[in-house]
Amino acid sequence: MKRLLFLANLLTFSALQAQTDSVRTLPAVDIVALRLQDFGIGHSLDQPDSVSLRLGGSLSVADVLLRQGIGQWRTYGPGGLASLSLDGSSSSQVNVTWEGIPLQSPMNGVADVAQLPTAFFDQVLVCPGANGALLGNSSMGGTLALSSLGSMAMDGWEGWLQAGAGQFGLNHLMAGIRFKRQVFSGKTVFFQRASANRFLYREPGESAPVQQEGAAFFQRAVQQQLSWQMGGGHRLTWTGWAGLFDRQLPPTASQGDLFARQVLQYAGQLGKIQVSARSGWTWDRLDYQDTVSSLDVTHNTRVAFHDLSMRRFVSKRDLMEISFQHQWALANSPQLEVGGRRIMPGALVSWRRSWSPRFSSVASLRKDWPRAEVSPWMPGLGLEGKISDQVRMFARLDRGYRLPTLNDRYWLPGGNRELLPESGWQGQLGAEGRFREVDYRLRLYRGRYDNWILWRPGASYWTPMNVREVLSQGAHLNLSRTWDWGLNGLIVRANYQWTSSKTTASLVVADGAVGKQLIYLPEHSAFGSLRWTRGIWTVSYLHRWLGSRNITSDGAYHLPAVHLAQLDAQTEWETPLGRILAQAMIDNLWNQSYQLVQGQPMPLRNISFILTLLVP
Amino acid sequence: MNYLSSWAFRGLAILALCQLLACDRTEPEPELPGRVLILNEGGFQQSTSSVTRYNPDNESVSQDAFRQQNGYNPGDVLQSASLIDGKLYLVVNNSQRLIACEPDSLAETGRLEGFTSPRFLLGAGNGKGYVSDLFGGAVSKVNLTTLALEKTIPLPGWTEEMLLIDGKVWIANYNSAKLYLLDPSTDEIVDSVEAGAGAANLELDADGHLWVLCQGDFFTGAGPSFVEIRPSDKAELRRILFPAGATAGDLAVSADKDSLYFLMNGSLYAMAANASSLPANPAFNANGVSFYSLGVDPLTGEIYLGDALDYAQRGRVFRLSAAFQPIDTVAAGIIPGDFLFLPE
Repeated sequence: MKRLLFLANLLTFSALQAQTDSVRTLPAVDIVALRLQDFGIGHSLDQPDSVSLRLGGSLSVADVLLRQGIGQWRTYGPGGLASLSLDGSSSSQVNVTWEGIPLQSPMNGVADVAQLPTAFFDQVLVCPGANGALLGNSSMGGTLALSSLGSMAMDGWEGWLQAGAGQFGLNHLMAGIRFKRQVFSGKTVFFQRASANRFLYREPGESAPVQQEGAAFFQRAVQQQLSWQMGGGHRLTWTGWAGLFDRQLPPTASQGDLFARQVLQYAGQLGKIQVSARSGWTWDRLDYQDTVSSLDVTHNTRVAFHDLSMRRFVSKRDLMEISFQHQWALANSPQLEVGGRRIMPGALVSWRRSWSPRFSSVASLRKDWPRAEVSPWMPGLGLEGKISDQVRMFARLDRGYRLPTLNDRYWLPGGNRELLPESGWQGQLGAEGRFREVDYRLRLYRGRYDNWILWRPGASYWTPMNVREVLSQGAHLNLSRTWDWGLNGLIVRANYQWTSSKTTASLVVADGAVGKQLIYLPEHSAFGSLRWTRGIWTVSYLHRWLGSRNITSDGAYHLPAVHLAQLDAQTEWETPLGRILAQAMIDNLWNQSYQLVQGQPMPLRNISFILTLLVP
Repeated sequence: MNYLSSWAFRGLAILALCQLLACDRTEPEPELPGRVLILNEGGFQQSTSSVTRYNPDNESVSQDAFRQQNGYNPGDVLQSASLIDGKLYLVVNNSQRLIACEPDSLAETGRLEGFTSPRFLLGAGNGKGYVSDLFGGAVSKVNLTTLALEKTIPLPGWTEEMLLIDGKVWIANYNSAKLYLLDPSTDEIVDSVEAGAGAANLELDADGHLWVLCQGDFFTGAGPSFVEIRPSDKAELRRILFPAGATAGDLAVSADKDSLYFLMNGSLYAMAANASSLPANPAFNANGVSFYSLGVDPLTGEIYLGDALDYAQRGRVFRLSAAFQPIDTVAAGIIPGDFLFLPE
């Protein structure tokens, strides 16, 4: 058991291990993951493992990825909005999907990843880089693909119960059960967390700490999954997910999110054709209130998404996929023109060829036909090959685009029906392998994006315009080394990101942003971790360094560079009820005063505890 | 040893003399602080507001003048400023405060908090002031001597610019499309006058007539308009409608008060106070720049136009002569939103 635990620990914080694995070894389960696995040749994937997800405590997907140095994050504090940026993109240029269904709000194009508890996902894939051909709209910077489709290999059941508490009134409760009996399987997960969130922080330049007020939050959600293995290679799965997230937004506002999502998925073999189909539907209601402005507004959004994918080996070396998608999105809001909706059919064809056991390539082409919109043809090319037993090289060229959101189009006042979609090309090149026991991966990328949409005020109200061109280029270097001494072990990981994402041209007269790094993107950042296991004890130290980040587009003002650290300790023991895991986490170990978004303070050093019971 | 004849002594004496002369020559004259204050709103909820101090005589610029003096920014969204009885007051909208400071040094001398969303401060004499409010549904009466909030006078919705005319405070109300008249002796609303949707900006012309720039209401479809009112009998003398689809913002008068300057669709327009219609063409065009703010120096008649660029970076200010000829372009802070011209 201890050995198993160590292995679990190896997995828990060894995203790099997963990163350096070939894409093909990933246990892809949903249609997006399948598509990335089979036709994402040339891409590289980051993923935290399923153990860290299921036992992630009160952490959201944003928290877990942030702590593991994956992606760049804009976070408004504990429980506050968190959005992901990849490869120098903006948050709305990262496609966030759950079982292939877009989770970005059709109104503003942003997915709040802070609202996604790790407890609900068996797989989290981060795929940096443009991916328009495979994933369509909003995949200019990359993709965050979430899946809840974990399954058990054998009949039986397992359950888990977790409770945690932390400073500032944080508490959470999570319970889950998963079963499999012959052809039926299912999973139920309940999650709840709350916090008064009266954390301590320091104002810049001040020594005395201040207590945050008016930032409490409460989240409750349940997810249900039922799966039927029908025989003959056919499987039908239904997943439903509903919940609420209420939070106060300092100093005077509050926001309530209520949502329901469901997806029905079919996978089967029809003759020589492997068929995947899914039909998803989401509904979100957001209530925003501000006691100062007396603003009380409700936005309702609904999205229906359908995807039919057929793939077939046309020869031993060639795999082809043809797929069709249809998306329908509608927003009802007093701040949008009546009838603001999006209807977007699309089609994709991909061809993968394995030239030899070592080399393979892929070519993809997508076209979307959004109603009343213009969308470009999107090709994608990928190549990868093992140039030695230890070194794999990969390369990719993709086009990506992002349609104007419903807010961009229909906001009252200011919506602009003349906007063009943002679009651009990105190329990436990389190598990964092992050198003297050190696993490494180096990835270089360069992309140029046109028609960057920017909201600019007119004399009375703001309106979006296509005003800028942006050049993004960068390098990601990941390193890891593992020492395994039986029951004891040590994992050392490090990564460094150079991200240069600068405005190269602008229609704004005398725009001081030209030549400057985009706001909130650090040009340099690094992450390192040590994970030491001795018997049943595991201690981890995670350290992040974020370089300075511009908060004005001309680079005149910036947030200072900051070092952030976290210390975790974990142990476990067997009881008649099952296995109990106990964790303690100290966040912001060095008590740094910092902000990830200007004006949004982050907590000083704080501690939390988690107790988990795993049955059987 | 004859020290007077020694080379060393002579050398030292010459050096000392040079130093004295040099000191005389480089003695800096006391530099007058710039009397033009550019009020930079800063990013919303980012507390990056600032004051840029500009001296039109020598075109010197002092950025972040408030922070340089006090070590901190004024707060979140510096909305406006008023000079009352020799004291400078900064109205910081989203920080819900009023900061009193010395006009020369900008050193803070006190602050008053507790407003909802303050916009403008009007001095009404005897240390009394009134503060309009975006969301407060009231005008606040403040004691500027003790920096105390004394009373709130309820009014419907958003109150904006105010003027003291013949002993009455005229208050523009954006939501109700009216002007309210407040009697400072009783702090009561004594009358109201119809204006137009989005009544916001007030100026007096050379005849003592009150000009109201009503910015319109997008949601009701009401367009912007000018309303000219004779304060003595509250009679509406003229109403000039803006073209359909036009946007309007900011209003100022020329130094002689014979002309009105305003922003329409982001461009500067000038209109004689006796004109019967809006001018057809802008008075100044800066290659497509959409101006955000407007001010006129009452001493020189020079015009200042704020350009906020993308509203997420430091803006700039165009300084024009009274004949609309460019004089200077001044680097400002983030979102230059208002101006205050101090007396010499």
